[in-house]
Amino acid sequence: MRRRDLLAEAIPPVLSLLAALALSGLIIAMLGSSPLPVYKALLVSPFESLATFSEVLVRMVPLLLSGLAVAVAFRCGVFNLGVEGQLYLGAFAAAWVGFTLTGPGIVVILAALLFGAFVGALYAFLPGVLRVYSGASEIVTTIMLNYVAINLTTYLVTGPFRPRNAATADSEPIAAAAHLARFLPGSRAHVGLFIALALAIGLYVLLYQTTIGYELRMTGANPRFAEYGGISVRRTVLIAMLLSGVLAGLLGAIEVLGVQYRFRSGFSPGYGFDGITVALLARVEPLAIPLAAFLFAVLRAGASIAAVDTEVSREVVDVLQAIIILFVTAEGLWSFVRRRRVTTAGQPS
Amino acid sequence: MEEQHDADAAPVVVMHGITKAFPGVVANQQAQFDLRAREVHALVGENGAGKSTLMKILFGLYSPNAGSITVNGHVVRIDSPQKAIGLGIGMVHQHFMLIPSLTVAENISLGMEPTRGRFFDLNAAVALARQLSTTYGLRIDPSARIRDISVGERQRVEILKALARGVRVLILDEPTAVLTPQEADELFLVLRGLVRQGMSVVLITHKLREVMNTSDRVTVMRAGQYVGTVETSATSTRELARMMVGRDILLRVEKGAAQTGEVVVQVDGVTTEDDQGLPAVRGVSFQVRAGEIYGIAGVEGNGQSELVESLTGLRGVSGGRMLLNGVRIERATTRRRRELGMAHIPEDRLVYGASESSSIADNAVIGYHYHPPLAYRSWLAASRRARWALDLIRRFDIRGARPEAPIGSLSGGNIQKLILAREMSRAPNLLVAAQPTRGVDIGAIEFFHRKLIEYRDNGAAVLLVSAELSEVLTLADRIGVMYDGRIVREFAGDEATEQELGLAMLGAGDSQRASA
Repeated sequence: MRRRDLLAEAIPPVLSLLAALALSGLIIAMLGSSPLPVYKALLVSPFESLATFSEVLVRMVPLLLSGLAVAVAFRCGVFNLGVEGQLYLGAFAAAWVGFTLTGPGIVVILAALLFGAFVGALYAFLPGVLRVYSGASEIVTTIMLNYVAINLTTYLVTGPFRPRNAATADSEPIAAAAHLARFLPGSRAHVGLFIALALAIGLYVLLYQTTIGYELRMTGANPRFAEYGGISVRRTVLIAMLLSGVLAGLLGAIEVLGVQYRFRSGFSPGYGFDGITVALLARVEPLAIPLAAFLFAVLRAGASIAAVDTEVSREVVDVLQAIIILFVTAEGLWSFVRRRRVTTAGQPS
Repeated sequence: MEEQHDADAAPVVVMHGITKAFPGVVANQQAQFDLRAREVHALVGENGAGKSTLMKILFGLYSPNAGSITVNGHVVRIDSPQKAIGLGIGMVHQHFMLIPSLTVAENISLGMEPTRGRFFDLNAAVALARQLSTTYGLRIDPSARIRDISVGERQRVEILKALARGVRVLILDEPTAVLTPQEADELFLVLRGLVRQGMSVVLITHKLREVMNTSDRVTVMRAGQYVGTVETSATSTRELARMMVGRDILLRVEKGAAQTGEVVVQVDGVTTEDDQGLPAVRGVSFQVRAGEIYGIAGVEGNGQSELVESLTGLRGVSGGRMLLNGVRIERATTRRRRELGMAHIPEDRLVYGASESSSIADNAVIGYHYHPPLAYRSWLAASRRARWALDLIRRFDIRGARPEAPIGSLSGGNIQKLILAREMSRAPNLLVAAQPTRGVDIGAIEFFHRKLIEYRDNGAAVLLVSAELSEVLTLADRIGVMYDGRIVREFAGDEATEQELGLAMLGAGDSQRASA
């Protein structure tokens, strides 16, 4: 069903994108400017030069990983709103390996990625356990744990791990050998993109070709059915939270090794929350998440360009971006609702 | 099918040549229907035969693509329920449309509230409810809140709501689906009373026994088309069933004597609680042998659901023992019980039995999804899964099913067939079948019954829990009657009569109550 309907599924989002552009054009026109330069800055400029396009690729990586992290939990019927906190701890863990461990680059990189993933998973496991054994809503606990993680990492880089003579809330830089390779000369685009794409494929394989993925999907689709069929819902929910945490931890680690080269307190502009939008935009299908992340990254890069190149203010560009995302995701929600309605209405008497 | 004419039988409603198409399906094709004054007219047909659609057209919920409607001799266009009510036509739906936090009187007068000055006149509303209640013999407390009253009482409120609006034609869509047998009998008395006062009642149903007991005439529909209208007194259940299905069907499946073997499942003094923590099963003991069907009969809500749930591992037990092939299972997981040979057709097929939004293939493999041939180590064998699903679809004749389509696209009866197919796809051992034919077409019921007997004859133990007495009597080799959380009497299948069972179901077998 998935492959055959891909085209049919792709048409409505494109239509709602066009509708969103029309509405935002109207708003700009009402403000007394011409919408065309803004359209150009948002949608064309990102593709005009290698410099701008490579920035799109750099921005895309965390959005893609965050989308995957949200999606894997979502498919199991749990809401991991704590990707933000998990990625901070994963980033710090990876940075710590990067400025502590010495050795060949590949060893340090692997160690940093693994440790980041491990710490992220551990931090997601906690709300998972609370949900499964005490019934505490993971929506509440994951959000609260975000603040703990963000403030804890800030404390770590301004306290115990504060570099000597540091004027900023950054950690020591990681070893140069631990930087992720860049694949487009003269740009910041790094191989983390390929790791992220591989993880998207990996999540697809996991969900649709393994027994764990099957159990995860059934638990998400109808937990009572899963329990009836001999699936341990508790165990499956914990696995989903762990996987989600692994992806969030890797996100943090890859940002440190590929872009930041150190842990910067407060470095994430809310990747963990953008992932919710990305996942919804992609209908929670792993193979569609890279496309959604790409679209999102184009809009982000375009917004920066529009703010510089046009007379329209940054705030207006943000509003336009919000309208586009709102339209596209609302359409996704709508077709989700419609699909549900079709399946429940199928029983006349 | 000859129309009989007498002075009293001028048609109140005539529907002619009604066609209604939805995207992809024609729900009604050249359908017709006529209703006389002072009659209970049953409208029967299998699921999807188009009977609800036809009545929703009469009630103004759908507009037909073609056809005419005449009410009291005038051709009318009914384009909204308001219009229908204006013409004296009311409808009680399967799902009630009441506000739980308001009282009976408030619900009845909703939308036509009596006022005093600018304010709602509660006393007038209560008086109206009381007056209607006594006029039509529908006992109800006007000041009770909807959320506090039983399903049967809620249905009465729905009927009163329609009567308060002055309807003369009352359409009831599957009214007994939610009622206990006693409540159903009471409803039929009420309907008879309405007819005596000059009203007409349309009863949409697929239960032939109700039709025979309560209606004056019957209209049968099949696949969206009109089949015929007959006087109830001039027909039989068998003939109606043939008209509905289009072929002869056996209402009572033949079965040979049971060849019983070892005890497969043994239940000893099991107790458990319902969702509110109140005792639901109060010490139940029975055993089922290989090659026999043990039926549990009872009015719903006497602990059968909780018993099945604790036997299958969906609910914990607070006392007692359960053994499956000699192994203690009362603390075992559902997976362990399945591995020991238990299969389960759950009572609520869309809550436990299937995942509506998932594909048919995903639904067909649960319980077997993790071992060969459907999976090797942790990897699913995709092509074998599809073949497995196709095999079940073919063997159980589930029409219109493709493995990759969502199971929600199937009719309720076909979903139930897939569940049955899945649960029977393992070598026979113990099958727990709870209400296996609820909401299933009469033609498919025969199929289900044959399959259960075939399964038994292959050496499986079958525990059948059903609220349909006729089903238990047809299938079971031994029958236990459950009342108030206990098995109060046991019968041999061929010795029990409907009367005896009925009495025991009402708790009248107290003197012989089995010691738990």
